[in-house]
Amino acid sequence: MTSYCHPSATASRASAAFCLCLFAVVAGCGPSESPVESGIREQILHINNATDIQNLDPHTVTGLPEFHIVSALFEGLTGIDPEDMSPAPAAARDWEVSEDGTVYTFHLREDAVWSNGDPLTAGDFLFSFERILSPGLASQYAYMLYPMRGARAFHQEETADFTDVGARATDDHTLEITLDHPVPYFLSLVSHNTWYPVHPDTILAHGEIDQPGTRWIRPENFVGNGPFTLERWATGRKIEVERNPFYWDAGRIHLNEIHFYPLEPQVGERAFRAGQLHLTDPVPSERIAYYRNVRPEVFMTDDFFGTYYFRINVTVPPLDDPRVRLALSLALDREMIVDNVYGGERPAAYSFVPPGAPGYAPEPVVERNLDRGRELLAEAGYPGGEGFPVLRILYNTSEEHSAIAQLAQEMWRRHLGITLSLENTEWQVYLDRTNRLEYDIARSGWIGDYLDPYNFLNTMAGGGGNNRTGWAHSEYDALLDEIARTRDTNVRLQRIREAETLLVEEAPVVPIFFYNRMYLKHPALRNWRPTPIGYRSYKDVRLSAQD
Amino acid sequence: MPAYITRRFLEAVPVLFLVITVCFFLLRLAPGGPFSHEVEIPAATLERMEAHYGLDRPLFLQYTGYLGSLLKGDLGPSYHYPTRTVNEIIRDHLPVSLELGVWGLLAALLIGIGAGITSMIRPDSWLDSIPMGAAMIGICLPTFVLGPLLVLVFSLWLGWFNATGWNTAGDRVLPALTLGLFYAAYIARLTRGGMREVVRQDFIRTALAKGLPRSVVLAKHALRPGILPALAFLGPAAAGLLTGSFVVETVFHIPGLGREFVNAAFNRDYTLVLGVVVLFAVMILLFNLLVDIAQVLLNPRQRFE
Repeated sequence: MTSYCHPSATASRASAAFCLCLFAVVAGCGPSESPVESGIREQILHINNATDIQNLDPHTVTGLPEFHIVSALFEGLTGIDPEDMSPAPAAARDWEVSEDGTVYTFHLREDAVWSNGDPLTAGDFLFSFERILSPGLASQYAYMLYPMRGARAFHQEETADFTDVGARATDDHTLEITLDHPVPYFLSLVSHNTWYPVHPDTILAHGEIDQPGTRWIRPENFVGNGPFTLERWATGRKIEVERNPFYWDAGRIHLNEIHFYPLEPQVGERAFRAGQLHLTDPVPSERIAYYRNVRPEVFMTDDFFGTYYFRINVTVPPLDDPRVRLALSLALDREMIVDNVYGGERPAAYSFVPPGAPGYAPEPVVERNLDRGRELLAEAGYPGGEGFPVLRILYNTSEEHSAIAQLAQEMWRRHLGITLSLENTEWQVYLDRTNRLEYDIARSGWIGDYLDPYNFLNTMAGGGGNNRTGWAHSEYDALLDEIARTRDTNVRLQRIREAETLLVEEAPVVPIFFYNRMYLKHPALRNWRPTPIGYRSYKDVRLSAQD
Repeated sequence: MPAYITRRFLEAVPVLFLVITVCFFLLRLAPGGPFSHEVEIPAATLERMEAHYGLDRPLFLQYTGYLGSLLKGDLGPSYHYPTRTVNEIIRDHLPVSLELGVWGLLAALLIGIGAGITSMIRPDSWLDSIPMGAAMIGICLPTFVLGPLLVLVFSLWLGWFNATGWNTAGDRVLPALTLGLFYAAYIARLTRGGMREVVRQDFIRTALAKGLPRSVVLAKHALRPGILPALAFLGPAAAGLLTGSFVVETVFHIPGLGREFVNAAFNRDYTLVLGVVVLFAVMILLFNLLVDIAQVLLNPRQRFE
C-alpha cells in the first residue's frame, strides 16, 4: 500500500488556521472580569428567573417567574412586609376599614407617580379594575377581584355599567372599595398583581381598554409605577429593568439594574459557578447535597407557599372508599421521600396548607400509621391488599416526580400489599387527563396566590375547577364559606383546622411535602428577603463585597 | 441548469404543502391546547381567548385561513407569547441558530477534513487510528454529554469561556465545537474513505509516475474527488446543524430557534410550531438542492437530470 509522507498542504494550513483562531479567541476574549464582579461594582443584579416569560402585563400574567419581574415594574395598593409577611403599605399610604369590614378606604401617596412623571391617581386604579374585569381582555385571574361588589356580575357580562362595581374615587388620592361581605384576607389579596394599576393613557394609546396582546408592555412603550422600569426584553436571552428615578421610595432602591435570565436549573447552576449570576433558583435536586455540605455559604432555603400532593380520583373504585384513600395516606413515609429526593431539605407535609401565611402554622393532621392503614384496607374488603386492582400513578415527566412516584409505589406495595403501575406523560397530556378525571392517582402541586390558608382550602371546594378529584363534601363547603367571611381570627383559625382535618381524613388529596425555595445566592447580595409567594420588594437590596 | 432548478422548485411545492397540512392537523390531534393551565380557567374566559385567535372557527376554515395568510408571508400570532407574532420570534431567533450552525459547520469541516486527511498520511498507523478512534467516540458521544463536559473543562476548570450565554465572541467556541464534533467525526470517516478510494486509482499513479510531488498530487488531484462522499453528506449535515441545534441551545442557553421550536411543541403554540416547520422544510429542500448542484459542479461524471 502506498503511503503518503507529506500531509496535504491545504488541510494542514486550514487546521493551523483554526487552531490559531481558537487560541486568539481564548486569549483575547476570555472574560477578565466576571458579570458577578462587574455587577457588584455597578450595582447590576444578575439573577436566574428559570424560564422564558410569556408576558409582563400585570392583568394577564399567570406564572411566578412573570410575577418576579412584574413586582419590580408595578406596585399595588399593598405589598408584603418581608419580616412578618403581613400586608404593608405600598402605593397606598394607609387605609381604613368600616365597622362591618365591607368598605376599605385606601389613601394613595401624594408623591406616587408613574415612570413618565404623571401622578398616580385613584382614577388610574378604577381604570385598571375595569380593564381586568372586562370580558374581552380574557384575563385568567380576573376572579381575584370577585370579592369586590359587582365585580363578578361585570366580568360575567350581567351588567355593562362599571359604576355598578364597588370601587369609587372620592378624590384623586382616595379610593373606596366595597365588598360583598367581609373578606378577612382582603389586604393580602390586593397585593396580588391582578390588583396592580396600569397607566390608562399608555393602554389606550396602543388599543382598546379590553384589547389583549397589545404592545403597550414593550420596553419602548412601557410606563409603570414600580421601583424599576422595563428597558430591554430579549426573549430567550434576558430581561433588563432599570432603577426608576420617579419611584416615590427611590432612596431605598440601591440596585441600578436587574437582569433576569431564563436559564434551566442545570444551566443556571453552571452559570452561577462560572461567576455569571448572583442568584439562581432553583438548585437542581441532584446538586442539593453538594451545596449544602461543601458550599453552605451560598446555599439558601426559604419558605415557599406551596404543597406537593397526590390527587386521588374518588370516582374510581376502590378509591371511592374514603378508608382506602386514608390507608394510602397512612402508609406513606414522607420523611423518607424528602430525604431521598431532596436530601431532607423540604419539610414533609402532614397537613394540606403550607406554612407562610401570617398567623397560621401547620399542625399535623395525619401521621404514618401502618397498622391503622392495613386495618382500614381490610375493613374496605382488601385484607393484605388481596383483590385490590392494579391502579396507576400519573405524573408529568420529571426526574423528581418519577422518583417520588416510585417511592410511593414501593411503600404501598410493601406495607399494604397493593400493586400500582407508573405512568409518565408530558405536561399537556397530564393536564388534559387530570381535568377529565382520566387517572387513578396523580402527582399534583399548588402554589398560593395570596398569603391565606383559604387560597389552598378553596381549591378543594366541591365542583370547583381546581378540585379535579370528583370529591365534594357539604360539610367541607360549609366550613369554607365560614372561613371566607369570619373576621374573628380565633374562630376562623378553628374552622381552618376543622376543614383541614376533614380534608386529610377524607383524603381526596394526600399531602407529601411542603415546597420551599432552594437557591444559590452570592454572598455579596445583601438584604435579599423573598416572600413565600414570589413577591419581592427589592427595597434595600444591594450588592456589596464587604460586610 | 436553469431548467433543472425550476423543476426542483416546482417539485418542492407539493412537498411543502403536504408538510404544512400534515403538521397542521397533527398538532390539533395532540391533547391539551395553547391555553391549558394548571389553574382553572373560567369557560367564558377560555371562549374569549379562543375567539380572539379564531380558534372557535371550524378546523377546516382555520386551515384555509392559515394557508391564506401564509401566502402573504404572515405566520400569525404566537399563542404562548401574547404580545409577539411568529414572524417576530423567527426574526429574533433564526439569525442566532444560523450563526451557531455556520460555526458548527465550520468546526465540522475543518476538524473533519483535517482529521480525514491526517489519517491518510500513514494508513493503519497511529496517525490513522488516533483520529479515527476519536471520530468513533465523537459519533457515539451525544451532545448533551459532550456539551457539559466541555463546559466542565474549559469554563469551570480552566475558566477560558463563559458557561452559558451568547454575548462575546468566546461564547461561540464551546457550542460550535459541541455541535460540530459529531458531524466532524462523520466527515473525517467519509473523507478518509473517499481519499483511500481515490489514491488507488490510475490517474493518481500516473500523476506520481510523472514525478509530481506527493503533496501536490494529494492536494490537487486526490482531494477534490476524495471529499465528494463528505460533500454529499453536507446537505443533511447542514440541515441538521441548523435545525437540530436544540440540545446545544439548551445546554449553553443560546437564544436560537431550536429551543423555541421544542418549547412551542410543549406549549401547543400551534402557529409557532407550524411557522418553524415551514421554515425548516424550506431550508432543508434548499440545502439539498444546493448540494446536488455543488456535486455536479465538482464531479464532471454527473449531470443535471
